[in-house]
Amino acid sequence: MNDDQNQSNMSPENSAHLRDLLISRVIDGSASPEDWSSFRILAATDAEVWTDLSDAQREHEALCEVMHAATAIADGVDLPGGSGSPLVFESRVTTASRWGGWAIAAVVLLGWFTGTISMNPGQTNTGPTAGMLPALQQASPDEAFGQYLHAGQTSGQVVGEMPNQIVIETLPLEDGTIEVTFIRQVVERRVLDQAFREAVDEFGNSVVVPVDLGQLKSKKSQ
Amino acid sequence: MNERWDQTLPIESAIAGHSDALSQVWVGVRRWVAVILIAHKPREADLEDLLQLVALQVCRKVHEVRDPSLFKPWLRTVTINIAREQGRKATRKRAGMLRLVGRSRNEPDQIGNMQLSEDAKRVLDAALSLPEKYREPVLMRCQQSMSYKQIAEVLSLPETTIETRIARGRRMLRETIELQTKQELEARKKQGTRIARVGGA
Repeated sequence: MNDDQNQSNMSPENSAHLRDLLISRVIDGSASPEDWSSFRILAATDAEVWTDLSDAQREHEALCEVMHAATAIADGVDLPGGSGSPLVFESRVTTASRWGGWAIAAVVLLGWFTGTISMNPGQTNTGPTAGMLPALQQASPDEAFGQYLHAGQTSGQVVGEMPNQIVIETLPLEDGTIEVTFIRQVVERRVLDQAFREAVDEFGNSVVVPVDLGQLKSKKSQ
Repeated sequence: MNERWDQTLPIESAIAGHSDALSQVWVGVRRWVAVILIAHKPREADLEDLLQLVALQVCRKVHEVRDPSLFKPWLRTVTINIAREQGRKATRKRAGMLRLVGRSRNEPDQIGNMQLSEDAKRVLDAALSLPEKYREPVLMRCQQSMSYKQIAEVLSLPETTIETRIARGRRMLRETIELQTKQELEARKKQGTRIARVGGA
């Protein structure tokens, strides 16, 4: 396809397709001498093709800039093999690194500053002392939370608070302090007659699978 | 290590369980995995987190790939599923948590915290609005190391189809941006007229 005769015989769809292909090949640097001659013939009757080529080239370069940034991120992600088992890596992925960057350090710091209640009810370190409970309306948030944990542990509904908090967002403030939004995790206990678990199929899809409670019972009793 | 995506990757050894081979394969493919993630993930989902999830899934499931020639299409499917499922899950979870505390997250650009030029953001937005069958090859072609042949192999399509989709996708991209620019100019023009009227009144 490199002469006027052929160009004029083409349907509008084919002509538009050829135009797209020629522009694309020029951008990719893969245009053959024949392509260039077709391009010149096209440009002789349709001067706008030069503007389209220039726009397409600029857009391609802008997209390459994005891909360059993505590449930089990808180059920093290695397989988990070097740092222990996949499961250790998975645990790291699903907890701390999901929130990214120095949020991981903030989790550790929060554990230090806020103190935690142990999973062992006998080792509560911020729970209220019996006989010294302030009325709920007058209690500070920490005191009220402590009362909830204490009451829950007494009734058996609360097992305890997890020692680590999950940081959702960290925001450096103008005065040099840092605002940290985080989750305190409380483990509660319930009795259920039906349960499901989340599993992943071979393509990475999340699927929900019912748990056979009868089988669990028989395993426990074995 | 040469990070070009090429035909010499030891995929068979990787599937057989050799960890060095698997690492080599990952280094060879992680850039196009990133491109596929960008093409399919929700806007707010973090690219690095999703890449780590794909890396984990590769470690866990690569031994299930029966034919080395199917490794790349398999990895693409895994990547797309993680981009959609896990990306949506992570985004929803985080957004939900922030909503619970009455906060909304500052929206990052689509590939994490990287600083992009205005031009790049605008073109990326337009590229992400392309129909899926054009979006992926157009973005992949921006990875300089990927030829039409290599893109065709990942997408399990003939090379000529890939060339056509890239050419057509680029035209659609150009038209989308042209339309956006026209609309913006018209909006500014209208706003200018309104301000002038208010000023005149």
